Amino acid sequence: MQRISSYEDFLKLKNRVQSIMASSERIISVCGGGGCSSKDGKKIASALKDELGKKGLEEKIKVKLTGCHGMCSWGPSIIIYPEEICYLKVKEKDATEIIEETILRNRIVDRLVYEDEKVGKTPHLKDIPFYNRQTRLILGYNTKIDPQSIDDYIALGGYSALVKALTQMSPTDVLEEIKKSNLRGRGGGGFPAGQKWETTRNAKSDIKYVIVNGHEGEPGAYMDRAILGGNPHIVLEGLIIGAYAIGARQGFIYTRHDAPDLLKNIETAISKAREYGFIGKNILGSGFDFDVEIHLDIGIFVSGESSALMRSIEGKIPEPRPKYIRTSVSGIYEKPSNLNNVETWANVPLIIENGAEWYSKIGTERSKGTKLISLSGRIKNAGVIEVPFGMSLREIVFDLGGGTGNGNDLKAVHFGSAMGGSIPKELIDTPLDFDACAKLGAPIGAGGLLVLDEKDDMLELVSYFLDFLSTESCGKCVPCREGIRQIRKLLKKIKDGSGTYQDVETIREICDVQKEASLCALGRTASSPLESALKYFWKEFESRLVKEK
Amino acid sequence: MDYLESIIEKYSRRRNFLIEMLMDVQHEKGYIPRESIFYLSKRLSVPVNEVMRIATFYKTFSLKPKAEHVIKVCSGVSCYIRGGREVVEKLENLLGIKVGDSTPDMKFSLELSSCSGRCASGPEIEIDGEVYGNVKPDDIEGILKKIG
Amino acid sequence: MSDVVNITIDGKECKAEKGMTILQVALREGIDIPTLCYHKDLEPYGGCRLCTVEIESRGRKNYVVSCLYPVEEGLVVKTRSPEVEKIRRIIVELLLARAPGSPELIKLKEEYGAKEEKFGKEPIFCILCGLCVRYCSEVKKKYAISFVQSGVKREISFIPEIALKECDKCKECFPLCPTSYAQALYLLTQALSGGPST
Repeated sequence: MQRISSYEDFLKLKNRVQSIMASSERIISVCGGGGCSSKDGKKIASALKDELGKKGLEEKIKVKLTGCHGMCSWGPSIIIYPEEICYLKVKEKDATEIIEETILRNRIVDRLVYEDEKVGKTPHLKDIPFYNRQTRLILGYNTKIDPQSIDDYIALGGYSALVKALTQMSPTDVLEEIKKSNLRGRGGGGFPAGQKWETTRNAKSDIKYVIVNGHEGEPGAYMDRAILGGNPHIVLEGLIIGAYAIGARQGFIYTRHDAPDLLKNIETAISKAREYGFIGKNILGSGFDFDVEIHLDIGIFVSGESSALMRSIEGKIPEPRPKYIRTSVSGIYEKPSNLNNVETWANVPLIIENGAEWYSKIGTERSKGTKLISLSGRIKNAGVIEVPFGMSLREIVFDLGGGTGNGNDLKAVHFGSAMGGSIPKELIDTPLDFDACAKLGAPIGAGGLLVLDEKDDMLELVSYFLDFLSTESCGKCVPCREGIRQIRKLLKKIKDGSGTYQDVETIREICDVQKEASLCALGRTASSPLESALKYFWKEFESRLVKEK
Repeated sequence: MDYLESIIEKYSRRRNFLIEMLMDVQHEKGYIPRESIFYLSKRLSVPVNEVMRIATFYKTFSLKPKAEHVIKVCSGVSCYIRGGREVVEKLENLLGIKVGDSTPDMKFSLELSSCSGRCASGPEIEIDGEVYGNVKPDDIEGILKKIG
Repeated sequence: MSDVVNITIDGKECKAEKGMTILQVALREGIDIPTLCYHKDLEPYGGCRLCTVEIESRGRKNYVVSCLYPVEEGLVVKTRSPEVEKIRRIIVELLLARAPGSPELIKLKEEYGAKEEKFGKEPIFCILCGLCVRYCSEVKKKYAISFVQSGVKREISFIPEIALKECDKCKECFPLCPTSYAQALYLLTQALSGGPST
């Protein structure tokens, strides 16, 4: 591979990889994502390749093992391009029939096709409600590229934004564009990314860092894995652009230790980007140097907290820092450090390539762009989706998600896992929006949406989250550690039927103290699921309390 | 201590990879031997109590050797509400141990793992790297028999 | 004189140097703020949260721990607002369940009207202030005690390989412990390792 050192070099490369991609008559994309047991994807892909080989078609028809397609409860799925025929719940032994029927005779294999009461049997992606209601600006790549291939990404427009930023824009231009786009952080708080970047950019220091938070420790959240595993380059491209705008020469990708394919794809992405010269010294002849290092979470929720994450990158215990200074001013090794979530970084190339004006047309007034959501719990179509902000939760749960799928009525949806809250079915017309959801006590968080049906017990759910936090927090500060210990005991008492109204008052007191006096965001929001349950599902508590005489 | 030297070298002796080094020790040995904590402390010039603290902080790390087969139950919320709790109870009853322990014959260890993101096919358990989805309590005996 | 800032604590106007914490200024001015994990020779820890105070800064009310919050010009601090008293009362109640009978906690219980057995008793006697661990590491540089585990399972542990060699001749952490747990745990560590090494 040659190093790309100018705009012209890049155009030549892009033309070359595009013509390679166009030379295939058809592409069969096989989902190798984590959601539908990736080993099956691998087997299916090799069975398809074998069949094509037998027919002498391996040159004309390419098989790609891709990242997560999104429709996890229907996986493994395959998509045949250019027709966009979608086969679901595919097995290795279906390979022969798929090749014989669809590839050779242009016939649909009926039994592998999506079907529901409303639309009937629908073989094409554009007719499947799960897909056709989405706006897959980021996820769209997942079904089309081999995550190990930088050329695939470039052929579909990848790294054009980086080339544009480095050859036509100043760092300030890039920063202004991000600010203008109103991109808000996808990791939880929804803080304006441009403003955060600016703080780090303006902080006085020769050394600055940029970090990808791919910790994704929220139970039920798996969209970041879908991006990083399916198209690590889009995150890397965003990170390099951000580093250029901020003035950082070193970046870190913090990700999970328990997904070997994910890690392999990130490592490959970094080494390919280095070969092309998108990472390293004097990137694209701009004089800008940048390098990236991977660090791993070994499996504790608290290390996703920004200051804890940064200590972990230093090789220290991931306990949140108690100091009153922002990490964007004093982070890793006390240098200004800008941390954004995987999805936030993935938005950056889109904004730079298409402009802030284009971007801010998508979404609501204060929540711009799209949001990835992972659907889990009592939902027919569990999986990862990408929808514009503003879509109603009803549309997400019923039209895309297909409802509870088990005959039970919807009870509530829960956002933000252990730091979030529930929205009862009466409020299901709420739009997907940072502020609208937060106002209801269910901040979107990273985007894990848990669906609950009428049979689910809110006290059980709340107890689950507190049990989770009791082992996944650091245990340093008293309100969080001892507060969680006592709330769990009181909740158990209520579940056992011996709780009193006074116990509920005591719980509320502890919640207040946790919110006001805990050391970090984890402790300050530990009571959120409980408070939201007390607010919307009080009857479930009250019916279990000892009746006062 | 050859394995420790090669782990330290893999990360160019950089202390900011201490957590990754401990992970490699755990992978290599199946647990974190006590002497490896002292060794890493000395070679990286990190106080012993800091290495000790990290080695005991994560559920992934264990200072005790693990059994022949490690059973990991996904602790994600979706698995939990879809019957994961009953799966854990069944495993605890069948094996006669609690989560975090190993059977006296060192055949099985039982652990919880972080949400795997395979929520669509929960409850999920993983034994020696093999993933079992949509597990029901009644399936468990059969799965255990198959393993050994 | 740009390094001097003016702050108000409980209505009293105080001058402070930039870089000081609220607690340092309060101590100097003789204003009482309770603490359990603060020690003048150690890095501020911010674990017990008992020194929480109410501040008003740029028109916004907030609760911060005084052992870590740096002073800034115009800062208004209330060390005993009703909300602060409630926070401290509950922290003391939570800790009393873990270390019933600790003289320091009993004193605080009386001052803040805490209930002795609001949360029953689940004694472990360590309140995890970390004074022993931090003193041993930061001042003595012996690293003989460690925090172990996380979340509600967090505890302290002597590292016998070091403790049996170093602690007998030091024991400086014992009087720092608000509950005498450090001393008890050390004796236990000795006993489990085959008795004193003398």
